Amino acid sequence: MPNVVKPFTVLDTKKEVDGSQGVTFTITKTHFMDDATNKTVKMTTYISVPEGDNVDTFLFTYLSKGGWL
Amino acid sequence: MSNPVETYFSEANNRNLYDVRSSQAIALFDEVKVKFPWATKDDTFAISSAVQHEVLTEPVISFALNSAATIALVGNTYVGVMRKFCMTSGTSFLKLYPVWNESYPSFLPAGCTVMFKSEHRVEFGRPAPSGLDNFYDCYFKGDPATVETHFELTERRGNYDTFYGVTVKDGAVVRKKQYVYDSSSMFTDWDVVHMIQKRRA
Repeated sequence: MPNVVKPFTVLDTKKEVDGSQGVTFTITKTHFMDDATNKTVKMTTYISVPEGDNVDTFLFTYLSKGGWL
Repeated sequence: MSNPVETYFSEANNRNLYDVRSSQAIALFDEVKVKFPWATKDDTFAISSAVQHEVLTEPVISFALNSAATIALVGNTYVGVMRKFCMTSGTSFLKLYPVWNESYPSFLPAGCTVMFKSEHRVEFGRPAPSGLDNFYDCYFKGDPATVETHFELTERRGNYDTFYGVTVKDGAVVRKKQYVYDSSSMFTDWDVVHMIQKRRA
């Protein structure tokens, strides 16, 4: 099985008071412009992942719904 | 209609690569989008025609990712990254191009310049074909007459330059590709890119 590439990078995790997983992550999205240049948007943010959920799967679903993936 | 920025021949198969803004690339993107609703060309600067992959045994369309997407996904140690869409199985994967850092391969004739190797990666959350660890490509330059004779290739040479790639599976060459460039494009000058990457290492 080849190595797996994730489209986001988890920078930090912490346990929240209610048991959720607080995750700081970053993701980059590029846009190809009409003049053949690229515009790059990088987001670093924090999200609460419900206790027991897989962080990677949660982020993937969240970012897909948000149009980042 | 735009001219392809790259053409390779693999025996009876040939594959063209088109600038992402061309009508051909847009039509190919639309074809991919039907099978892969998540596909985007925002991070892409060129799209290939479908070619029957001799190892995966299905048609594959390739998207050449731009440098920003490449760095975000795999860092800056690779010459480039292609996202490969396998059109029958609905799977996909990434193909990375690192500089060749191994000893001179026994399957090449003497005197070639070995430049790049391919590595495969699976993208999280995206189904991938099986067997990606079983084969790799070796990209090189050599005297065309010598390479053609060694691999029993039809004589095909670009007016600008010619490069070669072979696919190796279980130690044996199973596919031979002739990259024929009639004029300069963003995909020519492999030797210059190789030299720059070697200096960086």
